[in-house]
Amino acid sequence: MATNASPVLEVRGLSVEYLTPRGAARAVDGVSFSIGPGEVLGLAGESGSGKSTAAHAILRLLKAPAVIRAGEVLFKGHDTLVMSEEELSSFRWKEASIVFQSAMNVLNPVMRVGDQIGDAMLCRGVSKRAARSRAEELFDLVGIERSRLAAYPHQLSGGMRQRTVIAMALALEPSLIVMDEPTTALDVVVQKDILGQIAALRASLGFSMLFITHDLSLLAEIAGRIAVMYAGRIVELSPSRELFASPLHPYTKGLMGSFPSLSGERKLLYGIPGSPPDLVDPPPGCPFHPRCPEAMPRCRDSAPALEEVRPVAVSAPARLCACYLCSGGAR
Amino acid sequence: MSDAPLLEARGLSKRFSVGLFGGSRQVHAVTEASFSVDRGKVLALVGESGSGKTTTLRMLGRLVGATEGEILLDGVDVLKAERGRASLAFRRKVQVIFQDPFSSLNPVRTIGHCLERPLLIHGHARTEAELREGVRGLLETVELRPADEIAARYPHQLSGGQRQRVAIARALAARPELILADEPISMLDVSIRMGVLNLIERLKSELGIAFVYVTHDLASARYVGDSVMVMYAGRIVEGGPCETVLGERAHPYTRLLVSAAPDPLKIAALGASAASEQGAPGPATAARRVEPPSLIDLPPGCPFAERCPEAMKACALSVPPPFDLGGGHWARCFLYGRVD
Repeated sequence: MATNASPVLEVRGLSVEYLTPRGAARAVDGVSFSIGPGEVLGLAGESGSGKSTAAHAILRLLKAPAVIRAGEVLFKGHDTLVMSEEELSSFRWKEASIVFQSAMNVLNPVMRVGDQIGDAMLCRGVSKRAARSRAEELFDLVGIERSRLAAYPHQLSGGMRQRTVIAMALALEPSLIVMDEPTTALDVVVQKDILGQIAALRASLGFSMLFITHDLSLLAEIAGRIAVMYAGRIVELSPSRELFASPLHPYTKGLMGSFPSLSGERKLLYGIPGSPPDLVDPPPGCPFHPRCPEAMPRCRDSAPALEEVRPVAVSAPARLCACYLCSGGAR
Repeated sequence: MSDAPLLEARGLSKRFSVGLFGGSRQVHAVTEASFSVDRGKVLALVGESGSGKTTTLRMLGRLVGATEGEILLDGVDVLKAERGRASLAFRRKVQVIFQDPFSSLNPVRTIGHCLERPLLIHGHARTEAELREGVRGLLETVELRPADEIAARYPHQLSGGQRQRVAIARALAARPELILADEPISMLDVSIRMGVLNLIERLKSELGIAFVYVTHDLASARYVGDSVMVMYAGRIVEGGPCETVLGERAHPYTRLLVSAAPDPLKIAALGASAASEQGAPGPATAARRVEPPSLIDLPPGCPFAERCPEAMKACALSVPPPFDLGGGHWARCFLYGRVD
């Protein structure tokens, strides 16, 4: 898949800690993945699983008490983790941009949205006139009337604000857009609409996307591959179709059993017993073992690495799983 | 047990005044909600934000007064019988659980204290020993073990799911017949939501407690609900047995909601090939409305008419009354009848 063309983004062994009074909390622990040109990678996990922290680390948006402990983030071959402030300012927005969850908090309440979209461009040497006409183009693209460029954020509905932020992310035509739960604060009807629009924009503009969400079912509609995170680690990375058809990791299976369905028969679902671990004092071995229905003694001793699972058929796409149940077949 | 409903709402409306100086403009948060809650059943109330579902729940729990309408609890019009604040007798029968378990528990009191209070207030325990036994029983009921250890903790020492269980235990302390639950799982981690829903199901079947379950999530409404009502712009537009409503989707708004809801099963069945070829709408047309109307200037007709693919002339003129579709299923939509 992403191995043919050289990847737009390659993350290797990324680890991030938050320094808390109780000790260091390892929010991201040895995360590796890559995103190919035009590919959509879904990053799923519960709150506290480290998915947003990983994304923010990639764009170098983390602030103290967060510390990047290890890893490389190669964007088109350049490591963003060692970039200077100057290099960063030409990297952000132009090469990679981010859409945050809560558009209300991202937009400046006392500035017209058109000016805010223009701002990002003006800072990067675009002329005022060009920025203005680009902002108009962008509003056409995301389906808001041009006249609303003069509006203040509070005059727009939640959906329109989120579209505005998406327009902003598109402004300088980056090759990667990180979507950090872009629809979580929205109602389902608006969510569906915006997801459809994101998919259409990606199809026509061809950018790559890292799509972060706690809702696996959203990813089914938008992502080609899905990485599932738990307690700072990627526990499974599979193409969406395979992931939904046959989840490998017990945590992925548990997550699938946590969403009641609107169709089919009504059956009892159990979710996952227990609650996510304390990252300052994580359990030894596999962080999921205390909640895992299939835990074995060795799961307590050491954490399984994320390894390729031998496909059933040779032609089947590669899948990665961090679980002793999957590694090297049955043991 | 009698066949009469436990609680009945008749023409409940709530309007809020907005603006400086008490304002002349009014927000029509809920308009003429009429329904009943049966004993030992779960009624799910589904809608988007701003649809009036929480306001309806708060009126039932008498946390906000109704502008119009009646609430009958065991056949007694409680709004007439008790003016102002709800009586202790009402609170003993009707309890509320809130959305945010992080702000609904007193941070400086132990869990034990928080559960002892309602036991004392409602006279279900008097002595120290009775209190301790009562608290332990409540925590056991909501599956928080070991009970004694949990009782000694403070809210910040518990996870969100555990806190929500404490909130449920606190509601149970009054030994209520009805619990009003306002989005009880929406702030919890995905993996622990089902546990709380299963607890609601168990309290219903084992203790015979009725629930009004407010949610924006249709699938969870289907999971836990016996019957369901769909709200839009302050009005209940469709109601009836859960499977019938979500299966037949008589009202066009219900259809829209169902089609917009992500459904893992549907997708797994299709295979994720749907990922690339979903009905890509293309760059959106600005004219398309995807959001509900303002509740300040409600249209004279059906509030959904301007978004409705099946809108007719009649829809803009008057609000459709509820049309009976049989089997307790009804919808406020002119597709199912006329008024002349």
